[in-house]
Amino acid sequence: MNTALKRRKHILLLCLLLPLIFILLGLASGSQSLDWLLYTDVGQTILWQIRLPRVLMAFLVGALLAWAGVLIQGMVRNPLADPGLIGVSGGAAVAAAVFVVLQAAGLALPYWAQPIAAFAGGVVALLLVLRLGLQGNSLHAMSFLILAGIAVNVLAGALIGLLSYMASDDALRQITFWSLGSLSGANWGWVGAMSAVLLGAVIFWPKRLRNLDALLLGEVEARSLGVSVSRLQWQVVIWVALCVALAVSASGVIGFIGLISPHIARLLTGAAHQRVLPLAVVLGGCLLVAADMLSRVIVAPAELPIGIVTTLLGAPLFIALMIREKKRLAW
Amino acid sequence: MVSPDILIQASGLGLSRAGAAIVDDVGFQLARGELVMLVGPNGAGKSTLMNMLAGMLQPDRGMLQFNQQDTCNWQRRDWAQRVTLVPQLSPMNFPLSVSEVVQLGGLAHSDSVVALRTQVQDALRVWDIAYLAGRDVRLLSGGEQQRCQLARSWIQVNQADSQLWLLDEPLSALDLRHQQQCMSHIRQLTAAGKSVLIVVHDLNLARRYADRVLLLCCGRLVADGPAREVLTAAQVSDTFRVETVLEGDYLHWV
Repeated sequence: MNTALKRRKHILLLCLLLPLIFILLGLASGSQSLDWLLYTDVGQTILWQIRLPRVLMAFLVGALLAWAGVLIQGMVRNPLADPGLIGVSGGAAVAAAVFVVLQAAGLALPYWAQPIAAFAGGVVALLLVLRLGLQGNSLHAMSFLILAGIAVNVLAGALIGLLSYMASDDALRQITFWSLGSLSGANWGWVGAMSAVLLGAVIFWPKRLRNLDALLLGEVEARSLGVSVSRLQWQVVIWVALCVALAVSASGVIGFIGLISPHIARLLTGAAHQRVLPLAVVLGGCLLVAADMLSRVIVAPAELPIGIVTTLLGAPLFIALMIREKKRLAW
Repeated sequence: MVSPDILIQASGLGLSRAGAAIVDDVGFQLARGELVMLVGPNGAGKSTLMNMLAGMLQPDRGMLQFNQQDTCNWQRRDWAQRVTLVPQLSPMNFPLSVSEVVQLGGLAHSDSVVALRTQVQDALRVWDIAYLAGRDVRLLSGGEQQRCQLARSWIQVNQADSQLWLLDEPLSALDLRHQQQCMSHIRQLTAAGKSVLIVVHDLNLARRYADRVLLLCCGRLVADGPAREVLTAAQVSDTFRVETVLEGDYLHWV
């Protein structure tokens, strides 16, 4: 009991210190030196208007994706589920691609309309998935929901392929860049919106985390323990949609963060949500800040799309975790 | 007039799926402190009936009264506070520890953290899994997982307002000693006035322990009465379609 308590304290400390360290590191890394940023007027402007919102947004996007990952993995009782699973990111990506193609075709659309279109696309895809997947209170609803999500994602992939085929070279470049993820659109507006959603989640979820633990045992088990499973599933779906749609509209499709952060957190603290959730959210934020630093450094002064970095790092890490898990559970 | 000792009053319960009746016109009573075993061949509707009694499934037909109250308007939490269902084991993909699983038994009741901790300690001791408290549940054997699940429900069923324990094949994974322990824990509960309904496949065990046996076949209640009157060689041969003889007090199969 005592060592567990000590371990818990260490993890709490980790949750508080890690974001601070990573955000400071993120601020300090880049093509200009920290001195110059702090002590010249132009430097100050760059620091406050470009680098700080970018680093904060990186953290927030990672945190939101990780939050969504914890929720969706708990809901479908599968640690390999990804927040993209219910079709939200696919829908958002299609809407963004349509927007780019329309713009290239000469339609004058304001720049801020793209994220709004992406958000709307994500919500439409989600509604489609829910319409296809949920049938009353059936116990099989969950597998239907996942199937519907896969169907919508495949459809979204095909639509993006079609749009890319039809797009001009310039538009194609934009679509590609967007579907590979980028934090270059960061500004204080996004930081504010994401902080608000994150704050909402921090208020909403803590008292419901034990219900999620119960759901890990199985749907029937959770209901027999007094959890209204259908209500909990709705809550999860709505929050996942909100987190993912917001993240995807601001920064494009960024893979693996939502999958890998909960996984690492579980390896460190076990599966109880009261411990997994805060740790996963902090890890998700820090991982994305780190990935952003790499994406700016590797090919400086240009930058690599961040989705490539997260996937290049995430996929091998994921394979390693799977091998470890397989060995541990073998008998 | 229903006697005040009656906890469950079910009549004409029925449920159909895709046009076929899974449970058909089942009616029975369950008294306080009674240990009743539910037996029947595969697909007889035993688990479905258990799920109805736990409020998991709404019957299409019939009436279910609990303490002479209608149950139609109960929320999930109301059910969980009064009825404790132990379903058959389902696989687990997440690394929860044994004590984390067991403490979820207190979810429907809002006890303090300290009170819950004592309940967890008790349940772990009673079900002989205290030495597994910190173990990842995925690494347990089938019998250990079953005891972990029983310990979880032990917390739930021991709450003051919990009155019915429904167990779906709790014994199949347990070794002989733990089967006996399980039955003595169940007896301890019925002595405290709680009712227990168990699905079992071991008919001799039913004859030995049950106050009463409900025999279900093809969704219908075929017999309801004292174990030795219901589980006769003739009745068992007929229902399970296996030639049965009674030797001493034991059923044997040829």
